[in-house]
Amino acid sequence: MKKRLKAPALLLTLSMTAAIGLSACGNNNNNASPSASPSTSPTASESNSPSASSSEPAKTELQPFEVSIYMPGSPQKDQVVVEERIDELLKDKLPNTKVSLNYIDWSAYLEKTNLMLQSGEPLDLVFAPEWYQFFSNAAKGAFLPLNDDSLAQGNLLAQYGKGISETINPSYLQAPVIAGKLYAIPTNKELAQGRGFAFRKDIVEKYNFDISTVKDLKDIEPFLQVIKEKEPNIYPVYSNKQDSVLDWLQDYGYQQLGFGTYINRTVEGSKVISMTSPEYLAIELANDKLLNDWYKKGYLNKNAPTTQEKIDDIKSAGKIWFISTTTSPGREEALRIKNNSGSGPENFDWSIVNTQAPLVTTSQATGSQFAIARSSKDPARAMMVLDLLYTDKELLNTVVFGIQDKHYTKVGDNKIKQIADSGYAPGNAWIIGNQLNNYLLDNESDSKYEEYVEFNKTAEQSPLLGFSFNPDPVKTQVASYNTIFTEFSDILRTGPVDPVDILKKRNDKLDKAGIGKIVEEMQKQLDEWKVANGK
Amino acid sequence: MATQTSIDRTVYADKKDRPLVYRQRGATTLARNLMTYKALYVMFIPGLLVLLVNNYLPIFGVFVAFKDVNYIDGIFGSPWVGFHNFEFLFSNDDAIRAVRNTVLYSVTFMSLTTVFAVTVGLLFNELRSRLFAKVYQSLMILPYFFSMVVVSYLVLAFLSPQGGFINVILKSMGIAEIDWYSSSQYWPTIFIVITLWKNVGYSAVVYIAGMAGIDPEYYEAAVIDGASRWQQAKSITLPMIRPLIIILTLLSMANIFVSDFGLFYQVTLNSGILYDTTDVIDTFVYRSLINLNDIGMASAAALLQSTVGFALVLSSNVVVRKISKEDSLF
Repeated sequence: MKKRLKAPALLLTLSMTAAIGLSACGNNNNNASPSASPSTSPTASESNSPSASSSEPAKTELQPFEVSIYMPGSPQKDQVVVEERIDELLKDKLPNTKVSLNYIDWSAYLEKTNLMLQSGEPLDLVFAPEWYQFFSNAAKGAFLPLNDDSLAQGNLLAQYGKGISETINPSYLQAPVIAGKLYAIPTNKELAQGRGFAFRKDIVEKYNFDISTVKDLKDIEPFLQVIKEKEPNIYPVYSNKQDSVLDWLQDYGYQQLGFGTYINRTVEGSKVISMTSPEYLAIELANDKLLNDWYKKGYLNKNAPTTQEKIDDIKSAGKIWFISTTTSPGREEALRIKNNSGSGPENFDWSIVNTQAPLVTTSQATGSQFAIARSSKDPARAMMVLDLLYTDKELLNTVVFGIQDKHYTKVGDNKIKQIADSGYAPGNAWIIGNQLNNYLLDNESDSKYEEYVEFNKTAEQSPLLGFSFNPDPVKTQVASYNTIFTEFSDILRTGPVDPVDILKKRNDKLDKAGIGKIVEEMQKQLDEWKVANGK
Repeated sequence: MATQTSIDRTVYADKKDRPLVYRQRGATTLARNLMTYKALYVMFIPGLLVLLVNNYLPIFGVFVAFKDVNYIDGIFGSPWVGFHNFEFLFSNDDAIRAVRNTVLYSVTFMSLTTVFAVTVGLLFNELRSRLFAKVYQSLMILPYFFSMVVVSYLVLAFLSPQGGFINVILKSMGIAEIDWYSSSQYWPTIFIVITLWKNVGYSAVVYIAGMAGIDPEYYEAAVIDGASRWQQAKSITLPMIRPLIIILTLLSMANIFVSDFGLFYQVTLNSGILYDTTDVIDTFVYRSLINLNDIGMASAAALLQSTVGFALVLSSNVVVRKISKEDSLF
């Protein structure tokens, strides 16, 4: 009788469902239209001949099909209206093609899409960034290779993704790659983000803080006492389990490779090290200690370890004056948030200080991208829709902003103002398609996208761009790393306890659980990758 | 279902008073039974279906635990990997700690809940006023139906480091406040209090039902012999519900390797610093595998849990049968 939420048992059940689903091949999601199976679709058979790669698929031959797009975000009230408009726009460009937008709440997105992929539900386009287990899923075959001539549908990118290849920054297509095969198409936007801090403009002006002196977290300390004394309603420092000021600190020269391993990028030919090595420990300890010190001094909110509040609510309430953040062109405008505190300016605006220049790494360049699920019933069509999202400005803006005069109003040639509570504002500008084709918001600078292009040209490229790690050979160690790392991460990120003993305890455990093996495997795969790619 | 049977066994101490179902055994009478109790059987169907779908159907998936599942070959086509998926369960101290915590908590909860439920049952049995008995019972059962998420907020209201109820009291008495969510030593006690508060009322109902079925003549005879209330409880009530206690305990043995995920995950706010005393197999497995997305390893963990639970039920049943044959399950 007792209700127990047993994740393992649940997975087991799902795996059974999957087993049944495999034979039954239920058509759960696309039942709105009779979808063409890849084997019978004319586009598919055409694509088998090599010559097809250059010719446009004959549009009249397209069978009715609905392409499902899965992305994180709150489900939107006016979704259906927007979908209808999209279908209308597609009528001429891709006849017989419809699109279904599926927004899954951020908190559930990863688990839900993973279960769908596992159970073979027919998804088409799935938002699958690196930080949502993209590489492990791709290695397990969850996604279709997009540049593979031996695929039944042929080389999808070459045949149906010409618009993508022409518009996207070529660096992007080097990143979501495993053994030469491309598994996703990144969103065309800024290639990488820098790191830094954002300070609320009104506070900085009020107290005349010289934020240009801030190079690292510790440089903020002198301001905190002032805030504590003069602004009783503001937390001098705010952190919680989801968003900590320790989140986007500079990397101190160490590029993260995942699963607790790093490489010193400032030293040529440097070896992979683990987070338990003395050189890395020293960095971590200094920052964790600082946060604990602030906790003891009463700068940090006391409920940091336990609160379930969302940081945006606290920002809106005017209780936060600085945060740790990623940086890129237009970031200051994006941070603007409505003031709900009842006094002061209408919106809170922020000034950003950079502490780390952007570095284009595999994980940065794969931070926002779409993959085509292996279970897709018509991958060619999925690629055609994706292609249009990179080239068709009207289509993309409908997906991102909805319908003109219903969800937004035009205030300039390329500028819009979103209508409050209009029923469609998924906030997915950076998630999908070619962001440089998005309308600008009224508070964004006219030159935002020129800045992006410039930024992408000048951003430093990591020599390891394109390398990704396959954790499978050491998955026992990786599972241990996950348990141990998460056991201690919350407490370190929220500052209530002296980190010296905690870090020692954690590192002892990590060493014992075989983080050394992960380092070895990482080094091995990295060396192999370097040889294979001539680096 | 088995619980219901056991009550009947106790209640109908005299064979001729037992309902038909116990007197007429054998396949020949099955059809007649079905007819006689068709209403009961119909009511049984939904439960049976849930049981089949949730507990029996997944058994076919056991083989997943021995596979390295990938999406290309599908579940059936993926390569076999022997016991490789089980390795992580024994590969570090955390796994052992989780097993230790799980077993200790299960045993503690099981024994304390039984002791408290029987005590509460005895007390209710002594209550004269039917009205009060009903009111008390309802109030005690209520927490059983709270979701653990709700409980976690109630607990947070008590233990929050900022204005939590208990810390306010401690402060007013001049005692230093305690940071509950980062001090692991207090949590065994907290868990016990929560479990008892949540489950005792519900378990007590079963015992009260058992006690209600005891023939009043025993008590009348005892009163004539001058037995006190305490003596009656000790020498009549407790021995009469002994089979019930044994069977309920036996059944809960199956869950000794399983823990209430909500209690250990939600109520602790999944606070890592508390894991020394709060990490159990379910939370450990969840944490290890949520980031790895490997259904083979998740299945391995579930399979191990159920196998150990099954073995425990079988072996404790053997022990009980040795001691007192009629009290064993089968």
